[in-house]
Formats: sequence, structure tokens, C-alpha cells
Amino acid sequence: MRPPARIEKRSRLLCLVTLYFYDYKSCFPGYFWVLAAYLALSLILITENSLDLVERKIRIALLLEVVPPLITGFFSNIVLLAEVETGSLVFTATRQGIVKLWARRLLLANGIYVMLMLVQYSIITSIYPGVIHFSSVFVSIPTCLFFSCLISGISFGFIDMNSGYLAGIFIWSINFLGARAILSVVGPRFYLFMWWASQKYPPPFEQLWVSKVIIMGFTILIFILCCLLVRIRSKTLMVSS
Amino acid sequence: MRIFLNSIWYEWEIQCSQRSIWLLSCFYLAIFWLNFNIHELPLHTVIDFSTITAQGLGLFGSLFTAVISVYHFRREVQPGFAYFWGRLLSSTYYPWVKLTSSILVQFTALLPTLACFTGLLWLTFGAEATPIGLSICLWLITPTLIFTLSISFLISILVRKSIHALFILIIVFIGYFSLKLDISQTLSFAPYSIYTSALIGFGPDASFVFLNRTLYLCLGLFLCLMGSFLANVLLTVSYRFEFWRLNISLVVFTSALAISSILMAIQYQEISHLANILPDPLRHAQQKVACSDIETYTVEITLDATGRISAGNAIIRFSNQQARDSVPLTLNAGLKLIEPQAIDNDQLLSDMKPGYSSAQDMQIQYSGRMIIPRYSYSYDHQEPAVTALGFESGFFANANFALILGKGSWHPISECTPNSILINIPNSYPVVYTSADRITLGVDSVVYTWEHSEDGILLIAGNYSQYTNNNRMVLFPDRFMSTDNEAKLANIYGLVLDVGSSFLSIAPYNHRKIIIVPLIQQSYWQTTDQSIFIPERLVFAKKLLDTSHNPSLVEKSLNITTLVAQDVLIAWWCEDQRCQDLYSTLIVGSGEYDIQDENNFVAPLLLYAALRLSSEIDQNQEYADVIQQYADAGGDPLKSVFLPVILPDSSVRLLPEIANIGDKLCLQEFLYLLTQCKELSLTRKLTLDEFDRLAVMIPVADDICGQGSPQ
Repeated sequence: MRPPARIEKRSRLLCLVTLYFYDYKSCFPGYFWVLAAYLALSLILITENSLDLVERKIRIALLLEVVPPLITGFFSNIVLLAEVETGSLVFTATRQGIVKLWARRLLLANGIYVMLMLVQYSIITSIYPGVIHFSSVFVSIPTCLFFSCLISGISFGFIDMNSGYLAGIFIWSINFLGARAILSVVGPRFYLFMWWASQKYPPPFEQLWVSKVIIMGFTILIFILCCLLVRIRSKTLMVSS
Repeated sequence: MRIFLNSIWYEWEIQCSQRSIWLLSCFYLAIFWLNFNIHELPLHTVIDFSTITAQGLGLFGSLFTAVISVYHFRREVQPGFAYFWGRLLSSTYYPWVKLTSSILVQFTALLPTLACFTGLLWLTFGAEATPIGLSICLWLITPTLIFTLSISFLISILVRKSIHALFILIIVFIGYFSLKLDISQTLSFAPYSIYTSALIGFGPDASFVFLNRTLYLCLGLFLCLMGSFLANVLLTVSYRFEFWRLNISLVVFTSALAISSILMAIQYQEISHLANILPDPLRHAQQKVACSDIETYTVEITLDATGRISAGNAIIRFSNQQARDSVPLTLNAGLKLIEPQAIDNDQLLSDMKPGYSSAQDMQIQYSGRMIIPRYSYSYDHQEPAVTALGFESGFFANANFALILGKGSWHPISECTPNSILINIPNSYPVVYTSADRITLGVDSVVYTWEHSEDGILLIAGNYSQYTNNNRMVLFPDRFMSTDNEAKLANIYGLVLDVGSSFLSIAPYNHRKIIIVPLIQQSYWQTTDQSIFIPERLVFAKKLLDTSHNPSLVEKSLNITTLVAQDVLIAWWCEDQRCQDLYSTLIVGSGEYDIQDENNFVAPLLLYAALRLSSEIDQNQEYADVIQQYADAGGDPLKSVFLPVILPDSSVRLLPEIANIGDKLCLQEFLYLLTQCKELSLTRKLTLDEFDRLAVMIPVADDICGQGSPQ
């Protein structure tokens, strides 16, 4: 006899939560603590007394848009390749397709980050009401997803985690440290940290959401490529493990 | 030892076989090519190009190194290496094998970049410059990479999980970059904002560069040693006792490195503190007022062969005692008063001090090495009051170069020009320019004497290459820029000076000099001998490039002749005064908000004069188009942003009005009018009405136009 639909739905949800919980436990060692430490550090830097309003806005944009993609990107890189290195991927692959597994864990990493952003947003607005808009919570999501997919994609391509980290830090650093030059070359639409740039330099702020939509488009493209790459390389990955 | 070297070799092979190292090599190469514009290479000097390259590679390379090294440092610490840790070599030499091979791997990854860099040096600056450029680049980048590797190693040892170690490193380095770091800051582990010159090398920053690089090299080695000690404590080690017995000498070496690092950091802090003290513009203003109360002011200094002031003596006679007691002194922080001096800590004459005398003469003796304050040669944005002080020290000397200006903090009342100056310098200095009245040759030294007030440049000594061009003596540093660009620059300045001086009430002079001078930010025009002193860091040097083949380089701004004409006219208008606001607005293009009220009319007037002058030299220059742009803008802030020179709104509106009046006059008449305006500006603020009134009063056109210089 089948259980009632309501109970079935609840048990499915419970299974999913359990699955995500174990995914988190096995694949994100210390992710929570890194995020918590980052939250604390960023709040200390944002609430620095010597900042004026403009400087504080730049600082908030820096800590909410520029640095987090590195955190999510680097943690996303280990969701599958850590299992390759520890040799447990073969076992996992017998239970579930590794493309699905990778995608789920990638979304989990970014989902946890969004929760952090909400916490950060509520703390900032309670201290400095009106300094940032609620939409700014979602500003960094396309960039975070972009970095997560890019770093993972390069890692899958080279079957080497370090290559992914390196490519990620390269793209990130030329966008952050060489911001002016990159802005003048690629233009505001293709620039990765537009919220921060619109606070620091004077490019048109109206381009922000256009830029984010374009980045999201690129992210989807890289995501599809990554899925294909994982599918093609699945045998190699499992042999490596 | 053989096993140790073999281990390094194998570790190097393992690391180099990783795809990430190949990627790193590609990224280094990408950063190198992205870091400079190849079309602008002919305008760079060797030291400049090498420093730019080292800065780019140091900045990005430290992040790359931090990210990539964690995995390599922690490879054998992961499960599955129990056998490895059972070996004696592993426990004793593991850290050294890792560190040495990681350093070698970094330089292996840098090889393609260094090869490209060397090739470009060779092609652009010649074979002689290649080892110099390469050694500067390596000297700047090696301590950065060693420091980064050692700090990465230390964190990899302390933090057991790679990803956590990675984040700590990233946060550490991003934290570094978010600080405002320049070479004068102790925290600057990669070299930024260094002054470079073809004549004086790193100039006033030389001591910073040397101390900084040595400090980070020592710190890097110290952290390596700390890492190796910690590795033997924290990692799985079988023969710990062996380690301590073998490495007792290393403990001594580590202690020596730690002590030398601390001492160097203290010295660094001291120099940095002195070089970063901001001036007090009020003291300078007070001095300017007090100049009129000085009856006589005599300064005598003796330089030694290293550029140190070994003896300085200033005798000041005030016309009244009140002025004497209230005038603040502005002697450079590096110069020390020779005791007993009746001067307190605020550099004010104090009757509380021994040696105080009520006599009207005040004698101040001092000696020491000048510390050139960074604000006086920095191109960073600063307070207008600070910028207005210009090259405040008025002095720079090292073993090969000397530059001395009439006004400067090398004498106690820097804003007042001494009535008489005596400078005694060793024979070893190749003096290329002096405005001295008398030169007395000694056995080992030469004495230069000025018996009148001399404001501008007193003396320049340095290794210049000299040549004559149309009766003009051109003194440029060796490999200042490519030969054709040098010739173009000298020619344009020569032409502007020829045309300008004919009509600006300046006596003709056949042997004028065009001299490139480091550190100064604004050109000087010595009207007595018509020599022009051009700043080495010429902000509009890019305009020299031939843009006909590179449309991407064409900028919507004034052409090179107009910019040179502006530069010469500002130098003529300001004479020895520091018109930094005019220079920043008209030449640099960033001072429209800082312009002084009295210059709101002068700025468009000089711009118009430059356009007229350049149109006389360069027939293609259509100055009417530029004037039309300003007329169209009409003070609209949105349109003003796109003008060739951004002026305050009131000045934008004035330019077409000035052109309306000026266009009715021929060039000779207009420049004659300009000289009248300059004289008037000394007594009162210039306005459009005054300008119009003067224009009506100039002699009949036939007397001036087409007949040479007006009388």
C-alpha cells in the first residue's frame, strides 16, 4: 500500500535535505566556518569608523561582490575533484550520475552563500539603514556562479584542481587589480564586478543588471560545457580516482 | 649532498610536469604583455620598463604563487605517504627540498616571460641595456617571490587542510593589496610607486628600494627557516634529534636574519616617516611674507662626493627683531643643526635656548643628507596647498647627479631667495649647467658663487648626452626615449622657444639650452639665458608617438605643438613661481577643481596663446576648431567633459571671448598684449575687461605685425 501523497512528499523532502546535509558534510570541509569567519571579518571592515558614506559603499560592494566569488569558486572546485583525489568517486558514481552530483553540489555551495548574503544584508541594513538596496543581495550571484563554473570547468579540462584555482585567480585578479584597464577594454557590460566598479569609478550604474544578465548567460554556457566535459571525462575521472 | 640535490631535481621534475605550472607560465606571459603598451615602448627608459614589468609580475605573481604552492607543499602530507616519512632524508631535508625546488619552479615558469622581456630590452634599448634591465627586474621580483613562497610554506605547515590554507593566503594577500602600499611603506612586499629616472635611477627612492628588497629577502629567508623548524616539529618526523644536531648552525643563521630584519625594519620606518611628513603650507606662507623683512641672506654649502651636505651655513640679517623671532624655518628633515643653535623643535628662534642673541644677524649651521619628501615628486593626487609647493626641497644630489634650485629646503628659509650663494662641490661632478656669476677652480673642488638673487635652477651636474641642434644645446639623458622621439621633442621645444621668445620681450640669445631634469614636475624657463628645463616625466610624451598607423592611440586632445607651447608659456608666465594649478589644469588635465581664483582668466588666456603660437609653427593646427568647441560647450558641464582641456565653467565661457579679442590682432600684437597682461597680473587680478582695455591700448598694428619683436 502506497503512503498518502502528503507523507510521501514530506519523506521525499526529508530525503533531499538529508542528501544535501551529507553532501555538505562530505564535500565542504569547513565551508561554514570560512563563510562565518568571512562574515565576521567583512562586518568589522564595513563598520570601520573612519569611512565616509562613499567609502563605506565601496567597501560593502567590495566585500559583497568581489571577494565572495573566490570563496564559492574555490569550494565548488573541490566538490567532485576532492572525491577523485581521495578515490571515492567510483563508489559515488555507482549511486548517481556524476554530472547530476556535480551540479547539485555546485548549487548547494552557492545556495549556502546566498544564505550568508541574506544574513550579511540584514546586519548591514540594521546598522546602516538604506545604505544598500535589497537587490544587492542578488548582485553577486551571477558572478559567483560564473567563477564556480569557470574554475570547475578548467579543472575538469585539465583534470587538475590547481589549474582551476589558477585560472580563477587570474580572471579574478585582472578584473580586480586591473579594473580600470579591463573596464576600458571590455566595457561595463562584460565587466565582472560592475556593482563595485560603479561605486568606485564612474561607469553608468544602469549597465549593472545588463552586465549581470550577460554574465549569467556566459555562466549557463560554461555550465553546459562543464556538464558535457564531466560526461566525456567521467571515465578518466574515475580511473584517476 | 648528492641525494639532496637529486631530491630537488625530482621535485622540480614533478612540479614542472603538472599542467598547472604550464598554465602559470602562460599567465605570467599574459600579465607581461598586458602590463605595458608596446606602442609606447619607445617612450620608456630601461629602468622604467624593468620596474613596470617587475611590478606587474610581482603583483599578480604573488597571488598565483600563493594559490599554486599550497598543493605542492602539502602533497606528501596527505595520506599514503607513510613510507616516505620513514626515511631520514624526508624528515631532515623535506622543507629545504620543497622550498628550493619551488623557487626553481617559479623561475622556470617565468623563463618564457623573462626571455620575451630580454628580447624586447635588446631590440628597444640595445645589447648594453639588457643586463641592466634584467638585473633590475630580477632584483625587484626575487624577494617578492621568495617571501610569497615562504609565507605560503609556513601557512601550509600550520594549517592542515589545503583549502583553508589557500583561503588564509588569499585573504592575507588581498588584505595587502587593499592597503595603500607604495615603496615607502614597510608593508609593501611587492614594489609599487617607485620613482624611476634615466639620470638618477630610483633617485630619492633608491634607499627605499634597497632597504625594502633586502628586508623582504631577509624576511623570506627567515620565514623559510621558521617553516623548516615548524615542519620538523609538526610533521611526521622520525629523526627529530638528528635535525636539531645537524641544524644548530641554521638556528644561529635564523637568529641573525631575524635581528637584521628587525633592525632594517626600524631603519626603514625612520626614513619612511621622515619622507612622508606632510609640509605645513602655513609656514611657507609665513616665510613668503617675511622675505620682505630680510635685509641680507647668505647661504654657503659644501657637498661631499656622495651628495651629502657636509657643511651648510646661512647668515640672515633681518630689518627688525620681531620678524627675526617669528619667521619659521623650513630646513629639510634630513639636515641637522650644528649645536648650539637657538632654535627650538618647531624650527623657531627661541630665547629659551642657549646661543640666543638679540643681534639682528642670525647664523644657522647645519649638515646632513637631504631626505627628499615624497609629496614633492609624487604624481599621486594631493591637497592643492601641498601641490602648490612643487619640488619643495629644491635639491637632489647623489654620487653622479646634482640638481640645486634657488628656492628650497636645503637652506633654512626656503621660500626666500638668498642674496648671495656659495656652493662648493667636488670636481667629480660633471656640471652641465650653472647660472653662477663666478666659478673658482680648486684642487679637489669647484666653488660656484652667485652674488645676486637667483630663483630658478642654479646648477645641474649629471651624465647627459649633449648635442647641438640649430644653435640650441640639447641635453638629454642617455636612452631617454628613442632617437627619433628625442629629436622630435627637442625640435618642437626649440621652435616654440624661437617663435615665443621673439615676441615675449626676451632678448635674443643664440645658445639656449634644452635640458631634461628629473624630479621637477613643471618646466622652468630661465629667461636670462633662455634655457628651458623640461621635467623628465613629461606627461604628454605619448603625443610624440606617430599615431598614423595606430588609430587606437589617437586621443581627442591638443596636439604636441600646442601642449609644448602651453608648457613654455606656463613656464614663462610663472617664472620661478610654482603654478602647479595651471600646470595640472592645462597640461596634466586634472586640476580644474583646484585652480586658484586669480587663474580663472589666466588658464583660458594661456590656452588661447598656445593655440595661436602652435598655429604659427604647425600650419595644420586649426585652432579655430578648438575655440568653436569651447563656444559650443558654453559652460555646460556635460559638454565640458569632452573638451580637449577641461577648464572650470567660467573659464570655458571666457575662452571664446578672449579669442574674439585676440583674433583681431596678429600673433605679434597678441603676444605683446600677453606680456602686458603678465605685468598687470603681478599687481592685480586679470579680468576680461582689463584684457579688452589693454588690447585697445597696444601700438598701431603696422608698428608690430610682420616687423619682428615689439619694442
